[in-house]
Amino acid sequence: MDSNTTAHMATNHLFTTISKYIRLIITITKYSYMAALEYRFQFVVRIFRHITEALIAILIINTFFYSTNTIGNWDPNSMLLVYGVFGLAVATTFFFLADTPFSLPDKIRSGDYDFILTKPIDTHFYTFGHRIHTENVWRLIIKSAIIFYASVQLHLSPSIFHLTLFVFTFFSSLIIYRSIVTTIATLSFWTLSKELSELTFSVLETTKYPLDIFSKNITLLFTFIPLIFISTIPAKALLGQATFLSYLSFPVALLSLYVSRQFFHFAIKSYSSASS
Amino acid sequence: MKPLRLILHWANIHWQLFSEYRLGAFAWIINGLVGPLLMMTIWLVVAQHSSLAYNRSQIITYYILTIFVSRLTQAWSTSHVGRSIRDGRFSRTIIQPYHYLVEELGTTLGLKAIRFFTLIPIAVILYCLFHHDFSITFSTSKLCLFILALLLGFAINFYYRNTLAMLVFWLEEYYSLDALSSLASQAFSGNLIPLALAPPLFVSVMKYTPFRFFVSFPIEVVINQTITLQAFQGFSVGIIYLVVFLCVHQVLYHHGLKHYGAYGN
Repeated sequence: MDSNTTAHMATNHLFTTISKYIRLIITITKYSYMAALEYRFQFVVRIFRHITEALIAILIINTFFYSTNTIGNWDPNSMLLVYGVFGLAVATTFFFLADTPFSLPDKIRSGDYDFILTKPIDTHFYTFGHRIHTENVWRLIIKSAIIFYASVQLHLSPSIFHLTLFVFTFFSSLIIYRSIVTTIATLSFWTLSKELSELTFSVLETTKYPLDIFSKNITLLFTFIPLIFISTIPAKALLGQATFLSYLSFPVALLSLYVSRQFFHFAIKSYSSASS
Repeated sequence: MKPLRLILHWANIHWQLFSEYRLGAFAWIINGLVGPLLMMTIWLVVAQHSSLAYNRSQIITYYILTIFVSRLTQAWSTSHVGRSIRDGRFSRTIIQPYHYLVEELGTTLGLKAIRFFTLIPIAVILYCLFHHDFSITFSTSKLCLFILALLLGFAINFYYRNTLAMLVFWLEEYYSLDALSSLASQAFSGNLIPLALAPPLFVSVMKYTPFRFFVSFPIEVVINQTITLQAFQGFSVGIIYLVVFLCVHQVLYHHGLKHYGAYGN
């Protein structure tokens, strides 16, 4: 078989795999949406909850600036922009992740995880992707509206370069956020504890504020634990402030994804089923 | 005496259950520190750029007290009772020869006892880190009022959460109720924004919601230099809320039981 044929076959295989996963995501989304509409009251209350959450965050940010015009290099609207970017990252991640990090310990304990392992699909993908929370679309809309409002207040008109940089850094932030969450959730194979995932989300909530308002040591810590890439760096790109860290975000994202997947495959090797 | 023995019995069961999963318990306790320490750090940064009603020492004192007060007044009945109504386990509770609140109080006190003991090493660590900035002057009367405020805050929270749980009889949904009430509680309890640092409109809303008694009111009793008329007014409002929630809960429980479908388990 010559190299052209091999390359052609490899490309075909890649496209087939990608289209298979896209069809699977569409199917899961469709059935998740139908399941969400079964409980209409819950569906409506969740939308109301997302709106309330956003209003409370705006209230808190305005309270910080009640006695001052700036905190560090940030004014109220730019801090609101950071919050909007954080919210958009969380909403997008949770759209595809749903509550899988929290339900994983129970599945492992009860033995139901075997049914995920036996599927003819990538285990890491299916473990954290077999459910979709479609109501996060409303969160996406609300947080996009916040970003739009903050941009208008700031009279932002980013160049093509900064817009492209924002897209890349935002995409990187999604990968980093998901990788951190799935890495900690993977510890469930040993700990059987969902509280660690809850603790992770609490720590990740710090990124709803710009992390460079803190002392240099804390900012450095949040760079090595790559939290600064989740919202502060993408927001800075949108504000036209490209830094060295902006260009570093994509390599950090790839590294975090690699570590997350390798750790997961290591954890699977130590899994022993609980079912009979 | 019998209700007390029952409460201690359920508290003991949940103490042992919780002790089985020590790592989860440890993560849970650390989780309770993250929010207050983050808000404390941010307010300290804000204080560097403006003059606030609280100085650095008062901000640190406030948020360290928040960690303890929020844990001591916390209740989880909306999710506990709501979930048991939703999946039918409530049927087992209502056939017992005592009110379901006896079991729920025992459960809550058991979880609270664990938190209380795990707060001790945290208190030692925080004292070592912040003892230069921690400023409280305790008198006997202030200490008594603080304990009363804590008990009042816990009682209001307990009946408030149980009243919400009763809505599950009709709504068949507890998770979103719990999440919504937690959001409101976070915003208006003083967990995130101290009353003294809040804008006037926010203060006027916060002063008359029940959430203030979960965190802010007990801390105000301690931090204020003198016991003022405002403290006694606060206690009066708190007692009114307690009576209201008690009455509403009883009505909802009575009507909810008639409506209860006893989902299969």
